[in-house]
Amino acid sequence: MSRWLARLGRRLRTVGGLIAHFARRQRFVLLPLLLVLLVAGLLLLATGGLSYVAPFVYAIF
Amino acid sequence: MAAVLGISGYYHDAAAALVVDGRVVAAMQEERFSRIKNDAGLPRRAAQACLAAGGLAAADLDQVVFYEQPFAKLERVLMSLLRTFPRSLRQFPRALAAQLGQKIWVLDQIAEMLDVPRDRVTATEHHRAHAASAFFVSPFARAAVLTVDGVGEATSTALWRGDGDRLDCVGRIEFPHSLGLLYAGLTAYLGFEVNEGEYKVMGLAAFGAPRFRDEFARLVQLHGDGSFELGLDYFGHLADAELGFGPRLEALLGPRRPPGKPWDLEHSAEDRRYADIAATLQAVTEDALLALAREAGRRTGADALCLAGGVALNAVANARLRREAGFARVFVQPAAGDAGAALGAALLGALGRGDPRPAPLASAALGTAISAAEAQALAEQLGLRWRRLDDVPAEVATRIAAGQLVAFCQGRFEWGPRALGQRSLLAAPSSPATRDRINRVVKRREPFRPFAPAVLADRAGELFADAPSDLTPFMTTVCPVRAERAAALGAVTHVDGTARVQTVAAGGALHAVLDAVGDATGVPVVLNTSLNGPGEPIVAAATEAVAFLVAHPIDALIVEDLLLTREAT
Repeated sequence: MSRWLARLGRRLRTVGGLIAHFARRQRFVLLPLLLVLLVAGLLLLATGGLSYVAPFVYAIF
Repeated sequence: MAAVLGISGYYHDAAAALVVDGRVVAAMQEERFSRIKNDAGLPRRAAQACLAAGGLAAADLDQVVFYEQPFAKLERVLMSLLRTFPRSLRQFPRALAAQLGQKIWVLDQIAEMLDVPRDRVTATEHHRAHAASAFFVSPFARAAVLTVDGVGEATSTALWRGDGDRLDCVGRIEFPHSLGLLYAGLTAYLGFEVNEGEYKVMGLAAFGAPRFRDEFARLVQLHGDGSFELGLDYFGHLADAELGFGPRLEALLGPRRPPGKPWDLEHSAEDRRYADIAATLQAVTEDALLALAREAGRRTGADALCLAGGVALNAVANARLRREAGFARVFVQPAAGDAGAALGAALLGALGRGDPRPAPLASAALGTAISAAEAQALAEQLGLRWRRLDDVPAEVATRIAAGQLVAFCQGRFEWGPRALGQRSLLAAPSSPATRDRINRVVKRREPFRPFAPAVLADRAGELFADAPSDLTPFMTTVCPVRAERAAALGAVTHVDGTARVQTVAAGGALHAVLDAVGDATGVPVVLNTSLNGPGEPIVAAATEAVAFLVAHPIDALIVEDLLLTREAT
């Protein structure tokens, strides 16, 4: 349980850092997109994430 | 004084590098452990091996530095998706999955992987890490630094002023304009695997003539200040994660070459046309790099140049930069690609904590050591013949002079994609038949691909023009073979009369071998190619070396002072 809580704490810290980054850069137009992605990302984390990496992923990586 | 671990990962070439008290202690790619070529995960085993090499536990680390900033990268991805909407619509689900299923949590995952407090894990800018990996281990107090790759967070190309323990950015070019992506797109067009086949394109280029200049002027426009722009309509990297080039490129240059189709440059006009395209790509890339390097010289006033980023692994372009860019000296560290950025990240962390700049990199042997005892135990289990040698260099020289192929494993494995005498396959440099034999039956690769020579540093100038230099110890340039010595170097001379030379300074096992070969044959040179089969990472441990001996038609394996041959006892 404590390990799980520590992990949750790290993730929340990352979410905070992410929002702070976009606020600092004044990319407010991206915030709605970011919120959608965050929710979906948490779902992906719960289901195991992505295993395939395409060669030309520069647009998305 | 601090212990700092640098990490690259989650794209290609995952790696770890350890800097302790301003000294580069270890640097290793994950692929050597996982046995997955260009391993794209996190470097769990490489990190542990680095710590073991330094006699440290993860808890001893003062800082862990990741080689790029995940939030800045996400910002670029989102902006790129929006700018190219609706073409980018197809990419959206994958972007979502990649960034939020994995990428943005990478610092958390590194903390969990190493079991270190999260606040010890930081990130640095990707191109700054590249620049640091080259400049801070270079022999120069002051230099211009040019970093060129596919893309970092948003930057594809950057110019830096390196001065002591400082790096200041003096110019940058941003995605989607990228020489790395130009080369990668054409690599895919020519039927090679991206992030792996670029070397093949470079080798192929020597067989062609750059006769597609007009067509390439549409693909990339070079400007007077060293900057450039891609003709984005011809490329696919904004909207297609699979291919990298678009239908307009095929309309311009003709149909793409099918991947895996055997090459026949002698009889196929179509293959010769592809070679001409490769030659044009190489020439245009060199022109662009030359303009960038000259601009870096103008902006910094430095008389030395350091290069890093995947494009800096283009040894042919590096040779041209050394000749024509106007710098007295040029340096490229052996792992110039993304793996190398792990070293740069560690160095930035160490310098940021007040540690001194490390000594210039004298050796790439920064991996784990090989065990002769382990190889002997395996040989006994497999019924292989083995014996301990009193004089390893003499044994290697005798076998090479007799035309044999000798796998040669000594000490710690190399940092970077080149075998430099720690995990090498050695052979006589004279006969092209040797080259063809290795290409056909050992490496099973395209017949046009050249092999490199290793030569005594103090005799290199007799055999090769422009050698030795700051580039030659790590095989990051090519040198013209002196015409009068070409007959003795037929197996290591490319079709354009050059060779990707490795000069070997006194002190190591390979130097002793070259000395012995020189005594035996009069030419202190061996053909030196990496010890790996097709599609495999280079051998790291004794188990893989013995497996290589068993699986490939080579004549002998030498692990430290242990000789193994395939004949059963």
